[in-house]
Amino acid sequence: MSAALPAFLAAARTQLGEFRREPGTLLMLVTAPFFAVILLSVTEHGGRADLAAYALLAPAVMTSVGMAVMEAGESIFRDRASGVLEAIMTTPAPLAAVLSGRVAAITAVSLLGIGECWLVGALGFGVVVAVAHPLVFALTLAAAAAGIAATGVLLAAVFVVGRNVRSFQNSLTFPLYLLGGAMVPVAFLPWGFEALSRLFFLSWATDLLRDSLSPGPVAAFWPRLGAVLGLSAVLFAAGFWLAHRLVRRVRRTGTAGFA
Amino acid sequence: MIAVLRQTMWSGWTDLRLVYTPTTWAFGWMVRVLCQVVFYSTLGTLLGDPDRTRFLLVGAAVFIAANETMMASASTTWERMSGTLSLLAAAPAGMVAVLAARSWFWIATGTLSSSIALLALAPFFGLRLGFGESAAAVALVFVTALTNYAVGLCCGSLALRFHGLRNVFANIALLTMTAFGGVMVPVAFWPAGLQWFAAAFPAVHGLAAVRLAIGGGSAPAVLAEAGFAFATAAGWLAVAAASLWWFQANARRTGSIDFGD
Amino acid sequence: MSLTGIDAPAVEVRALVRDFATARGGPPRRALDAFNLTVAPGEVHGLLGPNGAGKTTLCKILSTILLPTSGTARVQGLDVVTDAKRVRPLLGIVFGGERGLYARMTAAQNLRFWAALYGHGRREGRRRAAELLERVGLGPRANEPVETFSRGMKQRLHLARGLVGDPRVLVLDEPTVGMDPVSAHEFRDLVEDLRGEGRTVLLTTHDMAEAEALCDRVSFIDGGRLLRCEDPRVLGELLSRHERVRAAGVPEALAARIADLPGVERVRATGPGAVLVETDRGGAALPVLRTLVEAGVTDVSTAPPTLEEVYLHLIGERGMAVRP
Repeated sequence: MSAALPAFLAAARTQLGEFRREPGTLLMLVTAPFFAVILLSVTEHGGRADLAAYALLAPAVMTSVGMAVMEAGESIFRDRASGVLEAIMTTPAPLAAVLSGRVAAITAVSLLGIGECWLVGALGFGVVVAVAHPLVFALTLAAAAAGIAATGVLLAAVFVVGRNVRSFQNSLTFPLYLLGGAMVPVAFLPWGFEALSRLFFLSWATDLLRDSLSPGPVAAFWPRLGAVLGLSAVLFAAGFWLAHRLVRRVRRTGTAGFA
Repeated sequence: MIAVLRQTMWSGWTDLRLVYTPTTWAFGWMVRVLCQVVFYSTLGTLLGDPDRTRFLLVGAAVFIAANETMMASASTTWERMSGTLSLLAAAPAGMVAVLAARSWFWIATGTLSSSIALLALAPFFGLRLGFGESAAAVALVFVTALTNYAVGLCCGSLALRFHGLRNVFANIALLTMTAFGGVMVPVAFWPAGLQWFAAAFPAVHGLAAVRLAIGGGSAPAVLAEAGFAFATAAGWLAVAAASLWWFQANARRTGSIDFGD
Repeated sequence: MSLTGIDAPAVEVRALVRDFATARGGPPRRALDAFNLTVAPGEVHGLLGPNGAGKTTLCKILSTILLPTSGTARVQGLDVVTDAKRVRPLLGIVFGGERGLYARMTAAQNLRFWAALYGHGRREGRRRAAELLERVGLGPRANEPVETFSRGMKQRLHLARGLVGDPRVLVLDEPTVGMDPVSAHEFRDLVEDLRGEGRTVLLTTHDMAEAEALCDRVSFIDGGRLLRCEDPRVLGELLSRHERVRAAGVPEALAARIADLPGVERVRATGPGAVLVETDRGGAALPVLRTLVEAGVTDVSTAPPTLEEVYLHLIGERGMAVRP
């Protein structure tokens, strides 16, 4: 019997427990409403009620991406420092399954940010954003969550495999928000940046999410959803490959910072 | 005391070298800073309003100085972790001085990254700055960093006391300033109560001074805002000292002066 | 064609070498040097050696988290390098120290997590966790965070963790380090139970009494090499034959008299009036004690020889050096 699924679920449960025991890890959910206030105040002050959906969607996406980048990296570092990572490698469970389980739980919890931001709009500004195309919204959100989790798995592996890469962890968030079109659609980015951002699943996902909130028809939904899923799959594959390489390197050198 | 301060400043410098190498600073932190400022500035592009774009650019760029000096909060708790804090059994005022000396480098790097972001991105978002304006802006960015550092220390002193929430205070304070302090929209957008609240933060006055200086404001007006920045900073320093005193008293009572986590 | 099965040795190590790179491109450090070992199914095998002898390196290679530089290692006939995936479910590993547990989670939560990593569903994981916690005597503390546990309790939890996958072969790396004497005694009973269940146990230790009490055979290892593989009775015999007597307040004349007693190998002065008497014959300590007490010396104690001394005797009898 494969240990992958039980390991995935157990890692997810462990991560949920960690959120409960250490509320500091939920910092991003505390800051989400502030970003909603900041961004919504700009569109409201500019008299652009039509952009309110943008301003409420952006902080939710930023929270989700931010938590995947920060927490996924933290959790694997903690596991390494406590010797848990080494012990995991002695079990039949693939490391990628354990990592994915953790990141899946992180991403699921981060989606609470959507509700928070929606409440900020409704209670703070009297702005209620309706979801014009619920099915498009739900499907895109699910695909985006998968992509965000894939980003988390990949980065967690990168942080452990690469030396000194971790200093960049804190620096990754805003570049990803910008290239992912979290607030401003990437079509507004200059020259090469837009092309680059099209390789990142998030730019397709945020465009689709914005379209799902506006009453007009959603053009080319399935191909665009396909782009989100396809690019996310590439990230997953890269993350799993790197996790596999990490395991091989630890076995070869015997030095992944263990005792 | 001078020797202690010199020693502390040196240990702060070695900490900085742990946080950044020249490479991670340039390709990590500076890239993030530029992306963050572009992120907010493009909001103006989205709204199709060049004036708003420039307003957002200046606000976001100057607040990098606030952002970075808030990191003094985190680096203050490194002192707790390294256990050296227990050596500073002097009066709370002495402790404030030592903690202030320890994390001074954030003022320097904050001024640097903020100024680079403002001056480098200005041409791309249609903001023309003459030499005099640029020089004045950099000087006032330094004032912003310096005075906001007091807020960072205050958050740091709270972080020492409530270690589990060490990252929360600085983040909340920074985001509160960013939301209501005239960074993205003029302070006047908010209800009067929030306007008063925002006026308590030195960086809000520092930013106002920069906006006046590059927007053709009069010298006395600029100096008045700078003065407010220093005045409010003094208030925050007093709160930091009180908080450290409280931390110390509590630590003595509970015997946790060793702070070993 | 697979060798997996009852007839294959539980552990078979042939010409195993493991080098570690040293800092700044120096010559590699050889942790294991042409190491050979065969452990039969159901055997409790002791791996005895001082710190740095290569015991932990061997355990890591067997538990698939370290690749050998050359040579082979098989568990139940499966190669730990080429067949690592099939080896892992067969093995339970208990590393010494406190690493490898989630400190903030409870003992039961930890065990459920590890049960899942061995492929057990939630219900089965709960059952196993509860059962194992009872077995290692942590039942009453099952729902307390591991960080509140003593070192010995963590060590017992580690043992439960090693058993959670119901392994045929159990590798225990210094499992009693940090245990209090009562726990260590209970641990011995537990290993006896494991033997009764037909499991193979590879136990590393530097505690000779532990090795003698628990093991069917004992391998002596130092400098990455296997020195000898013996029946533990040989060890027991060595321990009693080389018993030592420590005494204080011994006049020189008395010391000289003791040196002439039969079976006394030598008398070393360890301080003013303090001596250490080494014997090389079983029962030789008794006349030494009698002589001392009759002469009015009351500050007297006996002790088994140290591991290093036993090694010297072992090697001396074979006439080979520990490290070339």
